[in-house]
Amino acid sequence: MRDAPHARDLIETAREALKAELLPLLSGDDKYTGAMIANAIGIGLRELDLSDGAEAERRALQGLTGSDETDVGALNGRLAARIRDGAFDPGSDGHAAMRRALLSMTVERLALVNPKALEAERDLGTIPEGFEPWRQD
Amino acid sequence: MSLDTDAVETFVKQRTGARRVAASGAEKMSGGAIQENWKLDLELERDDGTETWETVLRTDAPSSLSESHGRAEEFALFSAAHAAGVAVPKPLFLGEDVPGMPRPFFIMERVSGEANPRKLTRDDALNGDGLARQLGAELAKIHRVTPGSADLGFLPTPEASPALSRVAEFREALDDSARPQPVVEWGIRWLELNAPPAPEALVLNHNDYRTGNYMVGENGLTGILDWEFAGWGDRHEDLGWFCAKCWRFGQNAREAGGIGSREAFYEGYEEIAGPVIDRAVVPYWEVLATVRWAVIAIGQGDRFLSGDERSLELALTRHVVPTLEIDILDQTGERHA
Repeated sequence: MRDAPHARDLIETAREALKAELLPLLSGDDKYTGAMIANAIGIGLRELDLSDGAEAERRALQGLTGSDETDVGALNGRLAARIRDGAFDPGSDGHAAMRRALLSMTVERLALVNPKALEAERDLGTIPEGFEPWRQD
Repeated sequence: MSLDTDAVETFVKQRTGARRVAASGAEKMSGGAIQENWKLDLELERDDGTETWETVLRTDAPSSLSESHGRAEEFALFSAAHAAGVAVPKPLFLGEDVPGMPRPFFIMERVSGEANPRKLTRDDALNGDGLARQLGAELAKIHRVTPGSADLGFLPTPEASPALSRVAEFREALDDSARPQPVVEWGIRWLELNAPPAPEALVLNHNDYRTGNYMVGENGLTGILDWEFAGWGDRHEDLGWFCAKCWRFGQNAREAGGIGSREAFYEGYEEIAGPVIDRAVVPYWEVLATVRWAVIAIGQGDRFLSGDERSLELALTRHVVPTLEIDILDQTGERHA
């Protein structure tokens, strides 16, 4: 049996030590490297904490592309190809649904890689109030 | 990595006819996985006295990419820009097949200034409409270089329209990437559907003219940097790249590069170029700028993932893409889906 403290605890504490004890001592290129390390650890921790959300994306993209493909990567590939071909151009039936899907995946990604930026976009109104990724209206 | 200063001394002696050349203070400058920049002082002894030149020697790093221009081509670009009165370091000598120097290099006058984009956009003593006007004026001078007027035959000519050339280029890049990018694909499709007509005249676009790629000294702009992507195109592409939200380093209200107002930037530009800016079309080119940066960032992520270069900076650059995607969605349609 493994002992606590475990991975998440250790990594988060390491990140705090980096920010509190090392970063203040660094300057210039080294400080930039230290800040990048703290950022990378932060993204990694959020990726561990946030659930994947793939199920909702899978269902939405299956509906949008009319496919029973189950692999989310492959579904994204189909969606990308059909967007390129003009299947979801303004005026098409699926245009609004496509935009909602794109916004959903983008909001999910932002929550992971830059939650501050996500909050700023919500404040700006770029993201509709109360928007939740993949929610069926 | 060191510089063979003996080889440089011999080279400069040959080129200048000086009696003696002494190189000193060789110091590699920071930045650049693709190019190396060396600070170098050159003392030239001639019959009528001694001069000291403060220079920078620029060469390829051992791990170079093929997409950006080679040193000889960059030297030609610097020369054309300098001749057009643009604030670039004066290019002095190009060295190719020089004994002791394994890769092509050139030597230019050393120019100093603040280039850090975070400092420039945050320090009110450095930024403002005055600098924005200067930046507009310099860009207009760059755009004075046209296909007929300089020895830049190595630059490819866009085929259909510059906008549709970019659309094709972006799609090819995404195909090479092999991981699907539906949001960026939508941005590209929008660019295809809304492409403006080809411009009447092509100009020399810098193609990376933005905050972070110029230096500012006591009296304003001292040098425009990073000419690796320069090429013929529609002037509005450079205007859009400079004003795109993604290149304001968080100072979103200062629409010109996070430095000053858009109008000041345009004013500076049109003072040199005349009333040539089609203001209504610049937002299109800002979308293109955002899509282009996303495609570049995706490519940098691919380099990291392939194992070719395990750089933390490349890895994190890939994660800038969602902020670009939100801009693409915002700028390509009805506010709320």
